[in-house]
Amino acid sequence: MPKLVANPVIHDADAKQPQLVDHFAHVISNHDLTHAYLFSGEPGAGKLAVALQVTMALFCVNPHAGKPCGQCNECVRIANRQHPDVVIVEPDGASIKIDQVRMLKAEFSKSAVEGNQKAFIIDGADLMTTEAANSLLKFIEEPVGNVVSFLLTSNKTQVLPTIVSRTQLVEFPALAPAIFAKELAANGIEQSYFNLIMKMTNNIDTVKEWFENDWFVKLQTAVSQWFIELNKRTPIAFTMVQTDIMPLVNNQAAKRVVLDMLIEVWRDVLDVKFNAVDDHELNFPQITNQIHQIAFQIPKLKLLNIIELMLKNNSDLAANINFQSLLEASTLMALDELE
Amino acid sequence: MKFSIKRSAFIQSLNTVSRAISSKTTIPILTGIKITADSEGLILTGSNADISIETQIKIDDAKNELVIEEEGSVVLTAGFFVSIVRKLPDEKMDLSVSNDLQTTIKSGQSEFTINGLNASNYPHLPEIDTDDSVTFSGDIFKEIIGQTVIAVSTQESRPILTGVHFELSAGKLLAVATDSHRLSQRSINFSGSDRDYNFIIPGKSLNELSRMIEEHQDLEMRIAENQVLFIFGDTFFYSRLLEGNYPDTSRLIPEESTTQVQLEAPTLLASIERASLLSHASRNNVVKLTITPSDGRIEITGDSPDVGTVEEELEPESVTGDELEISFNPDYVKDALHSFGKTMIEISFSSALRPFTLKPTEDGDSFIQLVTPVRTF
Repeated sequence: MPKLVANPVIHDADAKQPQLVDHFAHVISNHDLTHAYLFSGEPGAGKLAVALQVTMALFCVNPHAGKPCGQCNECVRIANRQHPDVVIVEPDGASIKIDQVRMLKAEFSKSAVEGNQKAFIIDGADLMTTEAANSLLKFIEEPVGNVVSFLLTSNKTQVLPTIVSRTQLVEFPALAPAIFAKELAANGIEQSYFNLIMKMTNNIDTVKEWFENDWFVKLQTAVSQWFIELNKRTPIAFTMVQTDIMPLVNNQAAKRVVLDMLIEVWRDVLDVKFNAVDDHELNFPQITNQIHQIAFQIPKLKLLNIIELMLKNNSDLAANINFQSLLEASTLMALDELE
Repeated sequence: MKFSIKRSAFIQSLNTVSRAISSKTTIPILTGIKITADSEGLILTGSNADISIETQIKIDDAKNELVIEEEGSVVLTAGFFVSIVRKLPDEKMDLSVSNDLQTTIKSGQSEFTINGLNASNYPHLPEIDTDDSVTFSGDIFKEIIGQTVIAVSTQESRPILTGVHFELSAGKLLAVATDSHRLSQRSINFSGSDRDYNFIIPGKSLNELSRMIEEHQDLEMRIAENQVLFIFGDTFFYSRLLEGNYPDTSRLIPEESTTQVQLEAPTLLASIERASLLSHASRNNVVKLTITPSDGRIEITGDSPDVGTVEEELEPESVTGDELEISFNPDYVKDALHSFGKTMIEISFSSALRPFTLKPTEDGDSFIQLVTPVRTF
């Protein structure tokens, strides 16, 4: 027999979006659920968890005030994605494939396997082709039978307007920092990285990826070291791009992380100089002294120039400029400004 | 769970339920076979969500040599479990499942241990009342399937047309399928139930069902809100239904005609098959039929400017009514003629642009095929 543990999906939904969970519980107990929702919010904001939680409430054998029990066979199977009447589609690679859309259409037109309730969860509603999305419209808009659809997107502007207009939009607020911090701690991530991570993402899965083989820690150390060398005004900072930073850049996503870190370390300087933030709010608490030193020494205008440089890197990267040259160039220019 | 069984009996039932299992499933547990042991015997279940097949191995049938030591249930991945059972050395086999779902299979000197899945995660098949049941002869039902399923649509644009529409009322069953270019309708009378039903079974499910019905086997049909269940022998065959309203097809079949042709179905079939050799190679797949009642002849011609031409004259049993030239897709007519077998049929036309009907001359109203012509001018 399965042990009576708290249902992970419900736990996730409750922790991330307590207000939305309560809102939907209210809607369900009033039987006011409409047939199609568009959940919009950043990755990691708990869209899937809430969609599953609401679905469980619909299927649960002993729901309480619009909330699922989380323990019954229906709830457990939905949480494990083993329920035949809860169809979950996620992008296969970069997009939702035509086969998946075909399967969805077939599922929409068939009766439920077990009872008479069906639920569809389409994650990445922005990742369907226009034709695919249009062909689903009819089913989403006028479902036959007892059907609820949840379309999830982290990029609302890319969702077809015809879909947006036929669904009820639910905006998912970004996670409260305290909740995300808790999640980070639960994944064994050291507190000194929290501020930096939270500036860069809201998604625990991304964070987990970053912390594989301590990649994030290594990169953070390399960037800190680079900053220390800049502080000393030595050209070693330039060579460090090749020796310390580049070996850690192994894919496109990593490049963005590096650029974000460079911005964040200079944001620290800016914050110390003008906003008088507490040391524990810094993104790079490990090098507080050096940050203070630079903040104290550097003239306002030069600091702004450097920050401008770091921000410009992002558009240069988009223009396909060689990443190493880009880092080296901005290092040299930063050294120039610091002279 | 623990039982021992004669391997050949077990394999036979495994083969039956394996028909429903596909490697492409929406939920992972459906790649498995569910095995339940209770006081009456074993129940095996396989499903791809669309169809589910359940079969019983009864304990009181001595041929099975079934001994159940402990009741219970487990789900085992079909792919290798079935292969293992097939290749076991001995005539008998033992299967036991421990508390952590480790499943041990023993036969002769061979012993396998594989991981099972929790059976409570397996989809629950609906419980369907015995009140809502109708019994048919399996042979006739198979015939109905064969005659109608040819006309179901393969297009996904209108999913409802991918099924066969069944209407049961006042002791009459009407089965209709159409892909909007042709239509096939079969009706039979039955007894034993006076309730009215109206439902649509996916064509794919019916094809699978038809393959499983053996000769001279009775077929019991039970209908629930979301599924239909067919029972034959020890096997339960569940199919999901298509949801939505099937278009009203009763108005489509013309009541009157101006030209009638009677001939043997195989004769026309052979002739159309020849004509379609050229039309298939051409861009527009069309064959023309010219009917001249005054000299009792019909002519089939295929004119494919890019390939060549074909002409063939036939002398039907009878030709009555007005002269007519009509063009059609030969494949639709071929499918229709195939479904008649060796019988005399009557084809009724009303104009070059109106659908025409094909039906057997005997007992004409129980089976009708309707084909829409092609406009060629």
